Amino acid sequence: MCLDPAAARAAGHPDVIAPPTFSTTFVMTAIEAFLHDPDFGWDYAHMVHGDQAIELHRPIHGGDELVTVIHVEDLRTRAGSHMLTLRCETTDVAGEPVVTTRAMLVTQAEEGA
Amino acid sequence: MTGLAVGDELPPLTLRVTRADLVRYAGASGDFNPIHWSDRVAGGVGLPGVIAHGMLTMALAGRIVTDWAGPAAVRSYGVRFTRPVVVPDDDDGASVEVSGKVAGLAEAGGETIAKVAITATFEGRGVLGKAVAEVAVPAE
Repeated sequence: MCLDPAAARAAGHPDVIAPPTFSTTFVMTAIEAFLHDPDFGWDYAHMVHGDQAIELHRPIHGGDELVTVIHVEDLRTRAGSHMLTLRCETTDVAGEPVVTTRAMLVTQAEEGA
Repeated sequence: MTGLAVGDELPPLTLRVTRADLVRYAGASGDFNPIHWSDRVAGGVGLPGVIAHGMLTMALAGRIVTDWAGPAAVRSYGVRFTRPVVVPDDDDGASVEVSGKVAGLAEAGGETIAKVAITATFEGRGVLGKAVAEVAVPAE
């Protein structure tokens, strides 16, 4: 279903179906670029991934053309740690929702900040 | 899948993650954080060794529902990363045990949605918290 277009079509899908966490492959690149922006001042070396949610409005198919916009949904500092929640909205080119993901990332806040 | 009931268990899986898998996942995902490939960097930030990408662990654990209902059936999937999977630099890698249980059944949008609670353990301890997938149950 994920690799064989004929099998996916036989099951009624337009093309191969992406696995549920596949959006990582195009969302992560954008998140990485954002986290490495020196103006943002994120301590990348000490970052851990706190939690992750994926809401699939429809399956992603082979041949899809998709657009992803990253939103800073929440940023808070507690007990010496920054907690950043990024919401990534992926739509098709007509603007119809395809997948919404939320990544909560944690890193240490600056010494003495 | 008729007669599916709350409490039913999905067929468990044992998955192996090697350093080679981490290299492949780094390339596939675009996550080149050196804690996933460099012992020096991982140790330097206080980790016990090179650890698997959280998203790789999440993806592997998700196989328990996609093996069962197919990749197009998953409506949502969320996890908390509670403990890292440490991947040694050897041929065996790390072994992750995955199990899943139907925690709820609901009707939504003309389909039956099973809420599957997923457990993933490494060296006998859970690595994911609140891991839940909502999966459409086929009519037949």
